[in-house]
Amino acid sequence: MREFRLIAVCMAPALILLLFLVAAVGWAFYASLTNIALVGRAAISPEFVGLRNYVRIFNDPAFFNSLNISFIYTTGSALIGQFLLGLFLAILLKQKGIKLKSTVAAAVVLSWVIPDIVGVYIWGAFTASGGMMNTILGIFGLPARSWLGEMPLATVIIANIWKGTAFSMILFSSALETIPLTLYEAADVDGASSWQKLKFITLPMITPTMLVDLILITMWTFGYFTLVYGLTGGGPGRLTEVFPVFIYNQSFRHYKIGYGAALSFVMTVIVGSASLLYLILLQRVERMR
Amino acid sequence: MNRKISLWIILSLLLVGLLGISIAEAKTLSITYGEPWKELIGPVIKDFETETGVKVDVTMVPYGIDMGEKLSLDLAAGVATDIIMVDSFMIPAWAEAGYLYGLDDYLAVWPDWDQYFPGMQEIVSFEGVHYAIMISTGARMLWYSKPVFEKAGIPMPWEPKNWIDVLSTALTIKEKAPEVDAPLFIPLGTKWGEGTTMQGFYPLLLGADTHEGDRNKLRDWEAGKWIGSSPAIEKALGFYRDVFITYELSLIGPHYAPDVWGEWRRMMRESEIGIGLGGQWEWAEFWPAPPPPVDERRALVDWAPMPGSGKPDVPKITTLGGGWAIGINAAARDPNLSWKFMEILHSKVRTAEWNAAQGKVAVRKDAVEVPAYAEDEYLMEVTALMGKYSVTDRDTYPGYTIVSFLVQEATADVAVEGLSVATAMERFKEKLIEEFGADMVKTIP
Repeated sequence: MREFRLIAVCMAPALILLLFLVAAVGWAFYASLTNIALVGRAAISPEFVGLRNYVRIFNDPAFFNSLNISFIYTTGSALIGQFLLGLFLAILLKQKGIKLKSTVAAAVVLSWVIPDIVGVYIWGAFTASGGMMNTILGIFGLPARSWLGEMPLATVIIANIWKGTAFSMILFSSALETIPLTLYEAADVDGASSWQKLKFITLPMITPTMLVDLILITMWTFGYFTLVYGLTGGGPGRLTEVFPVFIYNQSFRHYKIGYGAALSFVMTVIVGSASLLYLILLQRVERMR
Repeated sequence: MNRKISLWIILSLLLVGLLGISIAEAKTLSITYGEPWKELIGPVIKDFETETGVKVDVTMVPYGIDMGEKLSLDLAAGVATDIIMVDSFMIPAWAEAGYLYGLDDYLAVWPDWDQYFPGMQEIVSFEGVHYAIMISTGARMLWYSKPVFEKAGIPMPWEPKNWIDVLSTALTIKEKAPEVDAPLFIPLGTKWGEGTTMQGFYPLLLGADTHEGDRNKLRDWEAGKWIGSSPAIEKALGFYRDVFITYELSLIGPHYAPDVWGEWRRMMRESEIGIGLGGQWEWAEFWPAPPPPVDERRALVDWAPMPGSGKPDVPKITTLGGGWAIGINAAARDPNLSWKFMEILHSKVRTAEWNAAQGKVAVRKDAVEVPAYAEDEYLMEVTALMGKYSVTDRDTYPGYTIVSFLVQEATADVAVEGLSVATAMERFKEKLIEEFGADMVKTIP
């Protein structure tokens, strides 16, 4: 009996948390089946509309547009940008005899710890018509450009690489520390080149970390709202309307909470499937070792 | 026995504590207002606290935040303050959701209410009930940069007669002063929110076609339907196409800057814009507060009324009213206390002096009795404009917030995505039908 009480007490916080989660998710699911809105009559007396919101999603060209934009944004800024750059920096920082090592590391980490909204204003000012980017171009006699107007998606992708690379870098740095030095020493004895050491020792040793990093940054980037919303609001037009910004616009600027809730569930399924894919991969890698 | 007593003691302490909290809570009044109104509301809070002894709990929403969006969320979540600011176009949507406290019982015995212009009483009402009290109203007009006009050799004062005049002046600027980023600047897309609809689209729409019936509006009020397609919508979107695509008279970037309002004001005061369609309040807001002396401002910017399209029988000038009001949350803890705050706030002298300082148009007839207001040359000019041409309101029927958002999307469809006007209008109509049903949307051939 005593033991049961102890278990119950220890479980209580988890159960309470779970209850809140289930209640919120449950409410959101219910909301996704209604036309509930933030203002107007549907705010106080929403009607049950069945699967209409879901049907509507798959007939909405803006949904497919945002999915496409999100795909490019996530691939460009997380998978290619943060992942590769983070890996490159981590390996670089591990080398001996490289000057300015700590400066580079500090700069990368600093961009990560800066609050999101401050990052937004930094990049807003950096890419403004009279901003630093154009001033630098001007020094070389190149014409000024309207960065957020002419190449908005590329600009937010670069901004997000700047903002988030530190995480991958730190993760890879700590993974690199776990590789036993004896492996490299043995390779040296065998006369392996740097490239061979990277290919046959470093990369295989940190593959699980790489997969974990990919899971995390894919999920974060896909759901990352502040930077894009702050910089462009999803515009110009819909050119940077990534999925979370699309959901936000529908829910809080269109005031359609029901539709927004349905979109959120679709997003959960997408991110969930991507994570599942990575987890399966991770398991296979672990088994192979 | 001892355990029982201590349990009782704990329980009663808790009860007293809770009671204390609720008493303390009843003794405060909470308010949400935007930073642009702080010079008005700040002193009211002090006066209210001195007069009633009740503390005011303040939430100030900074510049650049969409207050309508924030308050809609607060209201829906049931955590909004007792006193709230409301953009007049949101009143029907909030009233229908039961968010606003009906003020008619208070207004019936408030002597000042008769001093409000009928239009300003109408704009805060929904289905016969008044829900808020207006602070100021205003007009939309074409601002222009005097240094840019001088450089381009355009005679001033500038008085465009129709849209062709506006476009050709902008083309002259583009040719003679190529360093100007936006010879003609009109709010575009969704990032401006209501700003695109109110300061960009409506001033065009209202002067696009003959005003017979509701031909140049977004709603046919008699039929009770939204207008999805009409010659006026087509012409207004066509103007966007001319500005952004055909003649390339404006950059697109500034319309998606982190702070679009701040960016437009900076560009205007730094002569990066030739002509800009905007609100009359910019007279005070183009510059960081406090604005420079009037002479200095006059040397930099001037304004002209927005002309109609120039088609026969269209309005010569379009003006458009709106503005912010203050209301009481339907869930206010003590409506009488909230009303007391409203009375202190909406006094003749206080509002007139604030409006004069801000370059905003008063909503009360007796504002002209206040010297600071009556002696303001600029306000008298704007008031004359508004008196001469009937001020039109937006089509603020419940659902308008969605229609407005779709309008913002349509402007971007044309100007950013480069859709043809016909396709963009068709898309606009389809989305309206999806929202409201085919029987609630009409086409004007």
